[in-house]
Amino acid sequence: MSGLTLKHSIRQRILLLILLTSGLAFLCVAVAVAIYESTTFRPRQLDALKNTSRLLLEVLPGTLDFGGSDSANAYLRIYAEETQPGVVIAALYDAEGKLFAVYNRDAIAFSTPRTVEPSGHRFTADELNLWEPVNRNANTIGHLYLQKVLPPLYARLPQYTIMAGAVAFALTIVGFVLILGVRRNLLRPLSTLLATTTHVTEHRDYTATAKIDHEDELGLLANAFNRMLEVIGQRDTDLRQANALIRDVFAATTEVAIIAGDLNGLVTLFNTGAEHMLGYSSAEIVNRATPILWHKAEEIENRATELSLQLNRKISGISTFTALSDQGQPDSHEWTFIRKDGTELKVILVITGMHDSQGRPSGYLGVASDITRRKRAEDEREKLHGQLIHAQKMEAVGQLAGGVAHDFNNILAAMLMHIGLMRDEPGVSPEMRAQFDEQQEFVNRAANLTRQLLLFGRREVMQKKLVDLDSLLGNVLKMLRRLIGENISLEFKGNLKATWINADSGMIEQVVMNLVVNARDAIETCGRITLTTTVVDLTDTGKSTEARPGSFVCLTVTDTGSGMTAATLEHIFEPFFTTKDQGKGTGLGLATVYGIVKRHDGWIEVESTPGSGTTFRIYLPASTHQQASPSKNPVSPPTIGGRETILLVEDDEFVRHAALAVLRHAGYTVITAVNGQKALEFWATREQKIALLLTDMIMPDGLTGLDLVKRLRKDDPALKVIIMSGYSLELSQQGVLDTERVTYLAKPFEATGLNQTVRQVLNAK
Amino acid sequence: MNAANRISAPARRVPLKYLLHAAALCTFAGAGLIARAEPPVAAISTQTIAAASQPSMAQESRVKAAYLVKFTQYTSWPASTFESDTSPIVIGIIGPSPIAADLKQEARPITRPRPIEIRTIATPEEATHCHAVFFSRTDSYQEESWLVALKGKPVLTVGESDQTIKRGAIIHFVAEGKKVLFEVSRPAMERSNLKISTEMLRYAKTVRNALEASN
Repeated sequence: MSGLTLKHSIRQRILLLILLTSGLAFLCVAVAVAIYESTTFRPRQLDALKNTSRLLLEVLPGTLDFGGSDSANAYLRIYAEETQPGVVIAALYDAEGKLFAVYNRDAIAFSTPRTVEPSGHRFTADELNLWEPVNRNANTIGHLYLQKVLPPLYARLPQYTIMAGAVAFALTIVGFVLILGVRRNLLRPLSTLLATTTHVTEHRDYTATAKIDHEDELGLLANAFNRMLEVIGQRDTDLRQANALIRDVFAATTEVAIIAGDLNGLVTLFNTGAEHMLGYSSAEIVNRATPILWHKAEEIENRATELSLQLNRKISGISTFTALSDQGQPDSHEWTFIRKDGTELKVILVITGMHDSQGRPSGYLGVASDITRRKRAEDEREKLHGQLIHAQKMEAVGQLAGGVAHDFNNILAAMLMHIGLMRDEPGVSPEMRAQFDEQQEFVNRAANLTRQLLLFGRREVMQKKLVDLDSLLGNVLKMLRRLIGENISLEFKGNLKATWINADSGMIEQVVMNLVVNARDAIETCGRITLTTTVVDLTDTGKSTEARPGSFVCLTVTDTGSGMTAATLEHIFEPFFTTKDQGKGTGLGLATVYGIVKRHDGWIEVESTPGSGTTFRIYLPASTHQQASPSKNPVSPPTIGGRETILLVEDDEFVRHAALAVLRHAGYTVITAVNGQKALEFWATREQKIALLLTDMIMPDGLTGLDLVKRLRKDDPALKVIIMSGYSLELSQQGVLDTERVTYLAKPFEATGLNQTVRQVLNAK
Repeated sequence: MNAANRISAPARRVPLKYLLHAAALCTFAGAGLIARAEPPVAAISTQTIAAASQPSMAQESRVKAAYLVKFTQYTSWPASTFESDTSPIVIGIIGPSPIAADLKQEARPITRPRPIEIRTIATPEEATHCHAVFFSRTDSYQEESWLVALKGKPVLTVGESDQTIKRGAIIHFVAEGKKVLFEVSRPAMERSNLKISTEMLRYAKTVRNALEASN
């Protein structure tokens, strides 16, 4: 039964139940009828016979007394045939027991008793025999015999058909009503509930409700179902909103790559940021084990080794990415990603484990940020830091050099002036004069060294003027040839047009000299050095980071020497970097070149191939002011000496004495002061006109040469001034030199130089 | 219809068969009416009896005696005519008569509910104490006066003369060939305050409903 019920729908089960119940009820009725029929059949037959015979018995005395056999026969026949059809024999006997009248339906089949028997009944298998007395008043005047054939069961059954039909009809009606009731009360609500459930499942429409207006359990069920739908619907809405938020967040994080994978390494999520970052589309990546696509194999290996050491177990393959997060440790590591187009980028990849609602690991979430720019900025910063250190180093060297140069120059200046004086003494033999010249050369070399130190430290005062680079090179070429020796040829290819630059010619000479000396040192035995000047108009900045568009004069120095490696090239402009043997180079040569070129707003490009030589290109801004200055600058033999009075202010005793000697020797009246204060005191008490103030720049009492100039000019605005300095001048002070109409004389200077400068200043208007 | 009522009571116990029984009853009652409307039926019965006996006075006397006794069995008198429940039904015979012996013989077996007593009477006065009085053909001369005396009295008067009904008797023996039949006068019966069963009236040759002209 249970097996049957489980297979069928409720409707079928209920229908079956009703059918079974109806059938059972019908069966019960049938059994009851059968029992009733079988147990009451005979008594009922007897009753029926007796009852009907009573009527006959009332009319029979009349026929016996008055009517005769004929009327008795008629009565018996009518009775047997019409009142009791089952009666086959009806016989009437008179008081004496003689047959008075008889009805026999079939005389052959049934025999009429000959003699009267006592009143009573007797059943045989298929017939009922009844003897009844015929009484008139209380007197028996005859006997009636009835023989009835009992109808067989099948003949009796039809009389129950109506009852059976009625019962069956009633049961059908009841069943029908039950089915209607069940449909209305049970099946229809259930169908509604089912339809609602299906609708909700198919359309995800949680606003649907099961409309069941019952107040029974089904109504309660429907209400509970509707409430459940509301709750689920609310949760569904929340979930959708949360999902939408997550989706929006994923889509909006375009700068950060979010990549999720399952436990097998299959990518389950690849957001917009990841698409931007890696160049793959989500469709290409999702559901594939693709992290290898954008990782460098060697990075994975390195990381695996690193993790193996850290975690003390073998790490390889995909677990390189998951090992740390599996242990609940944060995994934040820098990686190089390879984009779809092959380019690389640096990222920080943070990997965290994802867990499902039961807390079991469900996958991994990787969040990668592009740190290429950060990396670049860091590199930049490091470079800047290096440059700062470099600058600080240079500053330190410069200060040292400046400090040394100040005193050194004073000494050298004194020496040069003395040598000059002695050389020009009358009676000096040509041999002696040659020795003096040699001494002067030594001192000049020392002075040059100092000058280089100052240049490098950018302490040198730059005296820019328009210079034709070709002419300048032409002037120094002879000296350079002497410098490089006979094994090396020096070629100069000048530009066809003028190569005007606004530059400090001394500094440019220094640049050329340093480059050529370096070239010479790069050539071991013999070779060639080529100097070329060109004018270029740059529109493309090219490979050099310092290049800029514009018109430039380019000086190229090419040698056929040993060349340099890329590693060496990186350092050649650093101060004190040298490839030369200990004692042979100062390491300042190229640093000085770099410093000078920078100060002229130019830049240097170097090309070198080890074994085949080096090419330096110096770019200097070409000047548009083309003055016909060369004609104005004829080297006319300077007039030396005079009768003017010169106020010499110099704190260095040697220099003061030397200069005093030189100037007096030249015929000037010289008044000396050891510092600015003394000079002011003298000025206040002067008795003759002072034509020229020759003063040191830096003096110990705090009053500088410039200060002194300003004080004295208040008194005599036309006072001519030469400021000497072996040290440095601040840039602002450089400007002052121009505005204050001050001539600058760099220490150390020769006697001749001093005389010439003094005369020039005095001659000037 | 009286019979139908009696049948119907037991018939109610088996409702399914009620209609069947009712139909049968109607048929049966109809058959009864037919029988009463056909005197030959009764005549055949009498004929049977007559055929068995010799056509003699003695035969006829015995038949009439039997009839007389049977008549008393279908007639009901007012209760006041009996002294008790077991008081006999008295049949009066005028003077000595040959029928007396036959009557006694016929009446002997009847004991319930009342016995039958045969009494020879001589005066109409005596006749009023009887329940039934038979006037033979020989009594014809005094029949009329006696009947006048018995008029309205609860006495079943039976005669043989052609004038019997006219004279006020209730039953008249009619000889038809060899058969003995009887007529009944309903007015006389009713005047005498007697009731004769329909079971007997059914077999009467004639039931006269109006009084014939009499003196």
